[in-house]
Amino acid sequence: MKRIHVLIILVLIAGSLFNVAAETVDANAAVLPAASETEIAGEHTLPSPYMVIPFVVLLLMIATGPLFYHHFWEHNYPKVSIFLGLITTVYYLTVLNDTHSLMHTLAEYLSFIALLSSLFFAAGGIFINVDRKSTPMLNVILLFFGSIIANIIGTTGASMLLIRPFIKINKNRIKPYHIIFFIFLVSNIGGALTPIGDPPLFLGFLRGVEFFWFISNVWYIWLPTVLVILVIFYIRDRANKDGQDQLQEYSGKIEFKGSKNLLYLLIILISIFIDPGVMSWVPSLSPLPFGIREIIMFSVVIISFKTSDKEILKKNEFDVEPIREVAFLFIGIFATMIPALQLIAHEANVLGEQLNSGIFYWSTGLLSGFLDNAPTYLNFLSASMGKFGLNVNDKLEVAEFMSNHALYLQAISVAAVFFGAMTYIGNGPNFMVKSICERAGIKMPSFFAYLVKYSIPILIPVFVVVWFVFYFGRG
Amino acid sequence: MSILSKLQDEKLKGLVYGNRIILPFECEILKIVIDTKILTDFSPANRDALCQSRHGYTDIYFLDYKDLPQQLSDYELIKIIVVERGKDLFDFNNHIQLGVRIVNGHVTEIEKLSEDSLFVE
Repeated sequence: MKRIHVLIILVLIAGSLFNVAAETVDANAAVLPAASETEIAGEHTLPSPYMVIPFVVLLLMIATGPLFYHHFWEHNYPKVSIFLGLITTVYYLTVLNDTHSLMHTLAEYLSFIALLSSLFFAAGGIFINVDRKSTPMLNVILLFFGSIIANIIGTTGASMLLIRPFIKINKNRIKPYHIIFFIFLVSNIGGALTPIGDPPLFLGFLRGVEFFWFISNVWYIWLPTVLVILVIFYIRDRANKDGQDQLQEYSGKIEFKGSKNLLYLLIILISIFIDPGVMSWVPSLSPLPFGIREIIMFSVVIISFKTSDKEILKKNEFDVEPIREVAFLFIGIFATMIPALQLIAHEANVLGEQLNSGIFYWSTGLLSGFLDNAPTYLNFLSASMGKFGLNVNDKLEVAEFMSNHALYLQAISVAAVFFGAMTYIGNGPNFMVKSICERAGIKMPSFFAYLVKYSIPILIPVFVVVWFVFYFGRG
Repeated sequence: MSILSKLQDEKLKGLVYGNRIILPFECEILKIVIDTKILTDFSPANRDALCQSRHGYTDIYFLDYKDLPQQLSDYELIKIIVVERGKDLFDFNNHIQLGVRIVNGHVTEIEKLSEDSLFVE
């Protein structure tokens, strides 16, 4: 059974990569990312599978650049990212004559970077200091707290808010595994309970999945997963005896400064819902590739940068480079992954009948670890609904899918969020946390070391257990 | 007067010219963090930074940069762990964590890093 699953996943991916002949299919057969399907009439050509090459090259360079040619990479990653993105853009403009996919991706990118940058700037003006001795139990409590608030202020907000105090508490005994577990839990897995937690779930919410559906259908997977990872962390952290000979005194106080920026965070959270898909009175700015929500978020970026307490910014050593790095790398990732996503969406629809919940779990998950998890989620949501003859663009049909085929929606939602922790590029905050830690003098593992030393040995066994308990032989 | 005692009373002023930082004391440099780069290799073969302790001051050339004031933000610190020339390198009590901030023109402010600073030795 396992072999068949693996085989179908491989077919799914290989089919996308090696199906050389460009095929012409109907737009509603998921040629385009699901978000655009109903808006397009007529026929569209699938991109050539060779157009996946720029995306693969960019991923390889992100992985190998800091390791093998870091001088070149540090100076040129914005140019490399934009250049590779331009190859795809020019191909879509001149060969496919498809501006819609480009505009749609631009809108998704602007939405993505508006949310990330506004949370980054607002949280950068908040200072939290926990003056307590670092212990494995205190770390476990902090990570669990971070996993919970990731559902209230998003994984990005929670990461930006807590990473600095987490480093400070562990200053005398910090090791890379501390940060990796922080990325696992606070920056990713924690945010699986609400649409605010992680962008894919928010896209599901915009399509018609009820706000509280996630918490009521995912909590019993979320809780044991978080607890198991916390237990692994606790065991690892107990073995770390560094800093025990320090004779430092601690007041036990928790200091909080920057309450004004909490208001900015609140504005960002409210603005998430200011979308014509959620509130009918909100005007659409179409054909512009952004809406009122993005305008509010970018305004928060400017206001919080201008009005944040300068002393707090100094204490936080606030610097725009982490968000700049994310902005440049992800503009290339978003552009170059258009063909990959379209090909995957096509293959998923073609093979939809043969796919069960377990395969949707692994396919969504493994691709979410390397592609952006939001569009990957939408494509697999579209494919799984297509299996039952339902359309992702119809809210009533999404509601029907949510009620009658909850297992599939659950598998896709869990996988898209959980597997974002697999690599630095699986989710936006991962890179930002890495960058902040390196600025603090913590030598972070390379892209490959992260995979080989942490993701594969720790996360994959946990995800296999999740699959076995909840999806194996079901649906 | 030692670096440490000077720094407890006041911030020291240093200089910056292009990619060159000049610290107003003689010291041995153990670690530098600039941007996301963590530098610990100061051998002649390295291509990241060149450190030279001279009579009364210490030079650091950041070879990856052309113009530090242009490339570093106002809130960003260059973090350095130093040991004052003549002090025992192997005694951790002699390791001083410094933050260098570019103020304006060619002037830098050098301060002992506070407990609030994120810097892991």
